[in-house]
Amino acid sequence: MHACSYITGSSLLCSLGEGKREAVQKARSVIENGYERYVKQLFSQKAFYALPRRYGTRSQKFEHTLETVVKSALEEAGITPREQEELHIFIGSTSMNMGMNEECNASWLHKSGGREVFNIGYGYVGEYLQRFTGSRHTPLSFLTACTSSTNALIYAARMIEKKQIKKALVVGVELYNDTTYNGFSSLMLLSQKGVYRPFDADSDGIILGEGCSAMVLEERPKSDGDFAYLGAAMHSDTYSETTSNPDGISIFETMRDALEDAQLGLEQIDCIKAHATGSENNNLSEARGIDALFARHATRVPVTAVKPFIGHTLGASGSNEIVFMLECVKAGFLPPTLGFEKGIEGIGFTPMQSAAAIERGSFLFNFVGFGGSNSAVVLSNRER
Amino acid sequence: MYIHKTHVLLQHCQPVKHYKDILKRIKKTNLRRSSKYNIIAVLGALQCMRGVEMKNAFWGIYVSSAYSCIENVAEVVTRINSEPEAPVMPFDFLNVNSNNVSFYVAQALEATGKNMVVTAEDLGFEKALQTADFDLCYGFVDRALLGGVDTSLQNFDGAADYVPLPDNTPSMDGSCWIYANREPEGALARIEKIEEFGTIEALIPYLRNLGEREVALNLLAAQNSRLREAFPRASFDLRQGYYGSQGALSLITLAKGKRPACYVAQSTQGAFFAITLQPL
Repeated sequence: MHACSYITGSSLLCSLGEGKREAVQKARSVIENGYERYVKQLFSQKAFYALPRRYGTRSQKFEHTLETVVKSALEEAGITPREQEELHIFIGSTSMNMGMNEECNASWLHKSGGREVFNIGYGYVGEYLQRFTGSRHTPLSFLTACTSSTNALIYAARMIEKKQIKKALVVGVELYNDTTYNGFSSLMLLSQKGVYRPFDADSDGIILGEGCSAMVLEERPKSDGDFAYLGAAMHSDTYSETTSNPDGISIFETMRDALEDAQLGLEQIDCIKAHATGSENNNLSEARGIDALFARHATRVPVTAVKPFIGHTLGASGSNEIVFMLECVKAGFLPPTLGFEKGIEGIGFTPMQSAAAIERGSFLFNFVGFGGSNSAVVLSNRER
Repeated sequence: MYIHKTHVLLQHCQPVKHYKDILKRIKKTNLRRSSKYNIIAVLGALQCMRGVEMKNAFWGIYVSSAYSCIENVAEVVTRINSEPEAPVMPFDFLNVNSNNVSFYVAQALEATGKNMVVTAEDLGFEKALQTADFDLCYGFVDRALLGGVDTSLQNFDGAADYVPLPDNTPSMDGSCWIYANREPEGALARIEKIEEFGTIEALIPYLRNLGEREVALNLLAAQNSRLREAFPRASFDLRQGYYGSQGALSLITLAKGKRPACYVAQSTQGAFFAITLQPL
């Protein structure tokens, strides 16, 4: 197996819980006790996958969330304070700290002082993390819509592979802000029924969520179960700023090239984690891309989607969904596609409807974003 | 990494219509309701790539920005706070979602490959250049187009709270672009090395060892007394005004010069970039 970097530590804060193990435990309970019952309770006020903890201010939320995930991932990887200075930080987010800008603006608007916005530009998350970790390297932030933190992971892994850096911290963060929520709403992309149903004939749109996750990448594994980065690909189509080309070709090419980069055939993949936003366009374009991949390799593998567990966390969806799914695998199962009942006409596969037992495997993670941004990554914890 | 073409769009603050009119004369696009930030990005990129064959190559398009479309962001968040029940209109949302700017550039150029917005506090253009150089060096892309795009802060109240510009320095609309690949033939300049330093103690000996070179500084580096003392002839030129991605402008100026050069940029966290280049 060709592997050049490993995820030696990871952490996740999402609507399922304050920590990846708590999230997986809760996911098991949602699978057992019924998805619709879960979301009915979760969405009692708003169809949004919110973090479980309530914070006094958005600044407190921002700081607590980032610090908790980073500290936890660094601890799991056993990174010393001295090693933290040499960490290269890669960040993926769509809205960065927009919520803090809104909060700061409210205070300014109501003459309680302060500035019109908290900061200008998108470098603040990086600056904050650099201060928090003591890293001597300027963090690099990716704003590539829903592929942002996937691209952060890909660059971190590639730079380790090419011996440009030794250790990396990848952070995906997306916290609630009115601009994004209302923007998606006005684009008519949000589900009205409040039940996430990716690839389903009755799917009626996206349900947003918030979350934050971190991964530490190193040249060597630290434990037998550490996942190896095997390969990736990034493509963009130029069809539309808000949708992918419905032909699914660019999505197919991205997954195809990620497998080639990983030097694996599709038959060696245990499961594809689809992006599966539940939007009408994504349901079709990604499904066509997956069908094309199956046709090319003349084989099929299970497909699942995890957004019904944690919501669509946009720029952080890459790292959030990867950490969540890898932790499910470590816990012995592949999560099913909650909410899926009846497939869309013309689509040749049925996503996983029940959890499957697994402890080791190779997985293809697919992500799709606004602006035709496509990224796919192959990770594995098979015996080395 | 070889620089083949550059374009500098640097103007005193203009209304968006001014740039839309110019864009309309160059290319038919569907950016009628787009922000000034998106328009000047596309305009600068199109002008840089005039005459360059876009087909049969896997392109990397990298856009960086210091404060992107801050006027639009401030307008939208102010409306959200003052009229909480009012919707965020689709084009207002798309215009504050600066993630899409590289898409508009790629679409206008009909580029195949990948496009990204990458940034960093104070050193966004420098990090984008490093990313493009990495992709070119290891064959992840065939050709790279790199832009530093920022709109003027002139109409943004309290801009001085965010950007410590010297008095009377105009804040400009800027969209500066570099087209680079791995081929030396016909190149304007070669980027020799892109080095990062965590401390000034590590940077100064490195710069001294470079030998005789033209040295240009970014805003924060120019305000660093130790750097100014060590390199009194280093230039920091604000005669044309200032724009957020000034690093792009400095590199283009050095690339068009006659002498080996080094561009030094500093962040508020005290990290440094030293980029050496050789005009050809």
